[in-house]
Amino acid sequence: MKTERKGEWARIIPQGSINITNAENLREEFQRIMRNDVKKFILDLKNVDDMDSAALGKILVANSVLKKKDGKLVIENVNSEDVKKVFEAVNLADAIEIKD
Amino acid sequence: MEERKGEKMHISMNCNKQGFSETMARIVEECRPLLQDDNELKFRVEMAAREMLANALEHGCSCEKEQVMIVLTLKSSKIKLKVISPGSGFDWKNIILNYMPALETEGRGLPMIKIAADKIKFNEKGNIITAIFKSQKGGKEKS
Repeated sequence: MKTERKGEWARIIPQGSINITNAENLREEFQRIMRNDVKKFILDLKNVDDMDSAALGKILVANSVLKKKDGKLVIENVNSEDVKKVFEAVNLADAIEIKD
Repeated sequence: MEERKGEKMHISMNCNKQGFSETMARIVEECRPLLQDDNELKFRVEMAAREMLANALEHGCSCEKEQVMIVLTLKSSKIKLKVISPGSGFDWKNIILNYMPALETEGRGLPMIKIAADKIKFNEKGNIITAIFKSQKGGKEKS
């Protein structure tokens, strides 16, 4: 998982499959960067092939924490058709901004 | 670790993360004859299997020494995936499977299985879940 900083934004770029075996790493990455007082995040999914409900839970926790801090989470570059279908199945766009 | 009886295959999964990854790979591999020309079915089986195995690990295992049993049945246009967790089960009768939480941080696993499969069922105790998938070629039937 890579992370890039640009101004007040942090871009987290996970890879492969995000599921019960590694979703905790995503939570820890959000938490690590938030400790540096970063409140604006882009979750860049260009390299993610699939994800499960555990991953969605971590993303929604991060989104919830950031909202309470007047922060923001945007999801970008959903390249995988499978990830798109998961997002549609759970109506993720109702909770989080997803950019094409 | 596994036993094949005709179209039916028994797979055991260790109650740990490595067991999860290995078992997911095995399920996909065993289903390959039916999934290779049907991306929609492949997506549905993978999504449901991930959630079923994750539920078994998260809620149905109390230690890594335990094992989850998986029974995979393949027919010409149908896949039946049964996951038997070693735990005491859960009160599935009080779960609304059609409710997909919008903002909550959990509670999506079972609704995702429900969406992915053509049919799901539980045993009375709630430690066995069975999901049935039919090839799109035969039309997706919801129960």
